[in-house]
Amino acid sequence: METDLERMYRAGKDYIPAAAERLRRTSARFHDLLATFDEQAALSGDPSVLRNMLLVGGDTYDVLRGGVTNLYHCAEAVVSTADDFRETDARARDDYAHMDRRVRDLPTPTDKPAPPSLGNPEDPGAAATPSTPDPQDPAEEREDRDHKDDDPTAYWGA
Amino acid sequence: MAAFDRGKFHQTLDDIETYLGYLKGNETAYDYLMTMWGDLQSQFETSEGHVFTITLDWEYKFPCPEERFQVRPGVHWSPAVKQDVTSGRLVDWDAYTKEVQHQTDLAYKEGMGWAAGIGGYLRQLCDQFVKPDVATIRDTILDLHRDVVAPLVDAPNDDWAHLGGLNLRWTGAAAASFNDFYANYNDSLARSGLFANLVNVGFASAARVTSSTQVGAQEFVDKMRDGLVAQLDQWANEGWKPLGPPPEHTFPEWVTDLPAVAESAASVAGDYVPGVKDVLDVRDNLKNIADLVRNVADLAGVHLPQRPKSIPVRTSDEIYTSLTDALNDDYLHGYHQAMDRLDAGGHGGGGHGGGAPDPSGIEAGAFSGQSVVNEMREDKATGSWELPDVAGESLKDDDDHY
Repeated sequence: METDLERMYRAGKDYIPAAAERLRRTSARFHDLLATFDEQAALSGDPSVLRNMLLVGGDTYDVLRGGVTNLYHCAEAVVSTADDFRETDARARDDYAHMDRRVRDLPTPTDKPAPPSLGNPEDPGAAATPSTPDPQDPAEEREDRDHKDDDPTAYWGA
Repeated sequence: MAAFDRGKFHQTLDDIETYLGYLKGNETAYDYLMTMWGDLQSQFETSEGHVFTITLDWEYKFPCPEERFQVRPGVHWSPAVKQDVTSGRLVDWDAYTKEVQHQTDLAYKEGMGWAAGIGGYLRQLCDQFVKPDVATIRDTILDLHRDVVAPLVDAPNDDWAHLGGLNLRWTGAAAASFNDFYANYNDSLARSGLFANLVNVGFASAARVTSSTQVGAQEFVDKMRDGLVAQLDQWANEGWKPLGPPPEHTFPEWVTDLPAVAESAASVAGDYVPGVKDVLDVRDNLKNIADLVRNVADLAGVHLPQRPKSIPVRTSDEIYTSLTDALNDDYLHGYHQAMDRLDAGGHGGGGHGGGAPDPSGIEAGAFSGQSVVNEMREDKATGSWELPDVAGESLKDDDDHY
């Protein structure tokens, strides 16, 4: 039968850090895939639908990224709580003495840094890719083209 | 139709520049010859003497770099002149025609020069829909589904750290935010999964529009190039300015119907929008994202809708104007309008921007970028998505018992 203290340590040293690691990996992957979307949106000239998708993606990423940090804090909080009970309660101390070694020997989880900020992917352009600009208007381009051969050496004077 | 090939598309645009240069060269060389003929005509009318016609060298050809398209105007250019043998001022007509040929060469090259840079400008017109890589977008969507959306909506169940309710007995200063986080973590992940999925739906719909624009534009420019070649063949065959455009249907008489493509993309996207906020329903709606992008990078066998368009084509100016106007108005602006349609949704009918967006969040069967943003803002406002910050400290109050 699992004691409350064992339940706390298992949660704080195993389940919650494992959840943090899973979310860290998911977030890191999301970061990279959003960066690819951001680049493709920039190449597309940043149409509003894609900028809106990047706004939602970027905010979602920030929620997940914040979740990673908070999960590590949750793990610390639960381990601290268990330590706290062990220090202040004789029954908890006794439970600790008889606790399954595999749980007692679990290493104290260490934070890994949350994935980096993605900035504001909804802004035009991407890290290394400028937003593809609108082209010159065809009528203007024709005007320029028709005048570029206003050349005094033209053949008409022959 | 098949997969879009950016290199092939750019090659077609470069070919169009080349052929427009040849065509303009033909036209300027022809105009020069006609001007000279007109001058000689005036001179003829005011001169006296022996009448005869002068001609160019039988072998003389406009200096087109491609032999296939070289025009031999000799048989057509034959002005009548007069030579006053009594005046003692004889014109060396042989030298004269040699000079005309030389000046015709210059006129041709001047014409060709007019086209320099057209390929670059055509690329610029198409860059916004040609530069994005649909296969990359498709692969990113599939990766995002597998590596992000699926794990998020497969979020852990309640009591995911197996605390068995222990945490509810802790009342320390940090406990409230911990318990809030703990109770809502799985729902929050599933909400994030829903939003990540909607991002995917948005990119998938946009990729469908981009892919259709790319393939439709390729079809269009291929047909324009074929028409140009046919017109150059007419010049070369006749050795002179053709009477009209090449045979019917050589040039396109249509453009890709991008508004119809947008309607279709928006309608398909709607099928992937769960109008639900419940975690389990979200999961059930995520199964088929692969279908949404299955053929998006390769439209082989897909018939793109077209609409008729009158494209007047005979001269280089007409062809160039028709081509740039169609690429700008029907393809680039069509692409912009299709993207706007995806952003604003179908409420309020068509037209630029697609009418007023639904101010509320997502609803089943309808996709719009703005409704996804609204849904997210609503979730933020009601606190049903973002999780509280948790302090990494003991959750136990002094009075809490083991």
